[in-house]
Amino acid sequence: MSANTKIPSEDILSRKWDECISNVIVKSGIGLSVGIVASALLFKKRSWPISVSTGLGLGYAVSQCERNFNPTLVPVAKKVQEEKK
Amino acid sequence: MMGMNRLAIAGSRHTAMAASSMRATQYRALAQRFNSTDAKKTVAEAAATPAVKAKSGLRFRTKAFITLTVIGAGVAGVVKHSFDDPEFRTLLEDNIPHFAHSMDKLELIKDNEDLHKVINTAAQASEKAVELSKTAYRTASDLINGTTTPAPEKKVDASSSSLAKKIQELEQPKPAVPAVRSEYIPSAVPAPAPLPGAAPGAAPKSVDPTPKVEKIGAKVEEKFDQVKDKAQEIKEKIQEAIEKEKKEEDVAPAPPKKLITIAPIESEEPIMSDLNTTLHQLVSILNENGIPEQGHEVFEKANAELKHLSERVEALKVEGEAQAATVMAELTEKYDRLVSEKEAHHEGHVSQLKKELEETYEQEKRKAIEHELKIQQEILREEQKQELMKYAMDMQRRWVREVKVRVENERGGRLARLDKINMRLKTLERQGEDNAEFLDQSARTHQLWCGIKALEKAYEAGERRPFDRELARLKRLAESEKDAEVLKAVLAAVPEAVAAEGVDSVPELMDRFEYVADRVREASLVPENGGVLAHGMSVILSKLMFKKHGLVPGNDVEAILARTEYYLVESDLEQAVRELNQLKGWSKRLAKDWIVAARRRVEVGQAIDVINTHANLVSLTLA
Repeated sequence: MSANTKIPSEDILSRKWDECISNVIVKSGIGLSVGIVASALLFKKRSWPISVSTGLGLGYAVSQCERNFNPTLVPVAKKVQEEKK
Repeated sequence: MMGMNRLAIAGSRHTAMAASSMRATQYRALAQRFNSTDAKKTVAEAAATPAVKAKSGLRFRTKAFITLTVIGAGVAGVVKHSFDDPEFRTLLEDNIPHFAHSMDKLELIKDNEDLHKVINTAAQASEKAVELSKTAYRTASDLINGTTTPAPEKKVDASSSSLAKKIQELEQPKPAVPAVRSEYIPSAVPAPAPLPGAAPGAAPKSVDPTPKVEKIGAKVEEKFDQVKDKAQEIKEKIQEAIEKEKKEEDVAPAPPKKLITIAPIESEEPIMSDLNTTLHQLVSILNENGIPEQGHEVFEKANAELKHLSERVEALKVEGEAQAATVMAELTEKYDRLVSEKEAHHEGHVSQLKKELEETYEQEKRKAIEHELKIQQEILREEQKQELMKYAMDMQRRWVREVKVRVENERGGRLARLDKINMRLKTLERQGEDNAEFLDQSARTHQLWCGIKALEKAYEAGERRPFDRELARLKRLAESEKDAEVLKAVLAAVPEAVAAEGVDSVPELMDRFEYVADRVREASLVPENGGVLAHGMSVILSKLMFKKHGLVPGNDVEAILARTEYYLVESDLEQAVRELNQLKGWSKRLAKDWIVAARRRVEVGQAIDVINTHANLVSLTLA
């Protein structure tokens, strides 16, 4: 991603935090908007689609953040499979 | 009026619910409705809401049931997961008091062999039941439809696969073992199928060799027939011979009548004796076979005549011998005469030949002697020439020596003087060259010193400054020097990128180090493979930690940072780098760039030191 500008190594984590926070804001914002639209159009103005959708967006952002901070993360089912082998 | 209606309704409901006590909520609702002047709610709504309220919320039993089910499912899931994921298990074991104990007990149950057996038997029983049901279904459908369906093939169980496979292999009809032999028996054995593991190319080629083989077989048969025929012939012949012999034997000898006797004739002639023997034989045969009396007389006559004949023959023999003797005497005389004549003739011839030979021999000898003489003369002449030449060379050499001696004596004085002058000239030349070299060297050393000073200035500047030009200049100077291998190596060891970018100065590094130390502290509490939460916690909790200063012992992040700071303040960059290199994990990753920059500075400093030493050495050896 930064082939032109080299990040000084002490700023790696700061970069990651930046990405993480921006990710969270963007994705939860998108979730929120999708939820509002869905609730208005499909779900008869109930409140739960909004929170569900925002939560989905937030969760997705958090999981991406996890993977960004810990690239060695492997889903548990896969780990169990490999161990069984 | 409306209030009156409502009250009536409420009253009626109240009487309907006389058995159960009224709940507080319902009472409150009633009271509200009773007291409010709101005319919107209709009767149906008023009837509906308490009903809804009455049914809101599940009963305690159901709630408890649902809760217990959820908790049980949760526990089962946790236990199952902890069996699969050992990290999860250790995490729980560390934090939950009696988890390890329970898990061990559960494992015992899980690994229980009896349980496995029970489960296996149950599985088998269920399989059998399923099969039974299938067959039942099939038979039932057959009965109903009046058809017959074949039983499906039994699948070989996976547990006995190896054994079953072996049985199957044994049951398979083994084809003729050597697939190669079929070549020699073309018509009898058909081409066999290849073995399961045989190479596909081993299929016997039984088509091509058959015509040849058939021909050979036919020939063999013919010969055999011939031999048989011959044997038969021979057999027949033998049989015939045997029969013949038998027939000959069947001739019975006749009885002897009267024997003929004749006197034997003795003579020297072989013919006569033969005749005698034949006659005797005939007589004996006739005696054996028997002939009438007439034969006697005939034979005696024959005998007498034979005797006369023999006497005559003898007389003739004697005469012949006498004649032969006289003839022999005459012939010998003639022969002797001829022999003597020839001898005399030959002797004359021979003596003539001898004389001629002697003459030729004399001539040859003379020629050979002359030839030898000539050769000897030649050799002597050659030797004479050689001697003369040697003498001439000797004379020449003596002459040359004489001349040399004279010339040297002549030159003695002047030549020596010239040599001395030459020597002095040479020493002067050398001294001049040495001087020039010395001046050159000192000039170069001065230049080297200037270059080093420039490099040092760039190095010691208060900020990062590129020094590639100074480095290039030093390289040029190093090339023209001799014995500058070390210098050249050190200059080559400084990479171009570093020279082009320059190195950070110590204040810059200190500034950067403060920033780096803060980041390192933030990342110091992150565990291995930590995620967002771990990093976040580390950031927050690290702000609650105390900072250390000075030369503190210890291997934790704070101590390392404190020691590095100390060394930096003392401008001991090498030690600072070594300290900071001891970090681990994320902290190290964050501090890597700073370490690289500091290391570069240290290396360039060392290079400058080496160059300085070299320049010192050069200027010392100059004088």
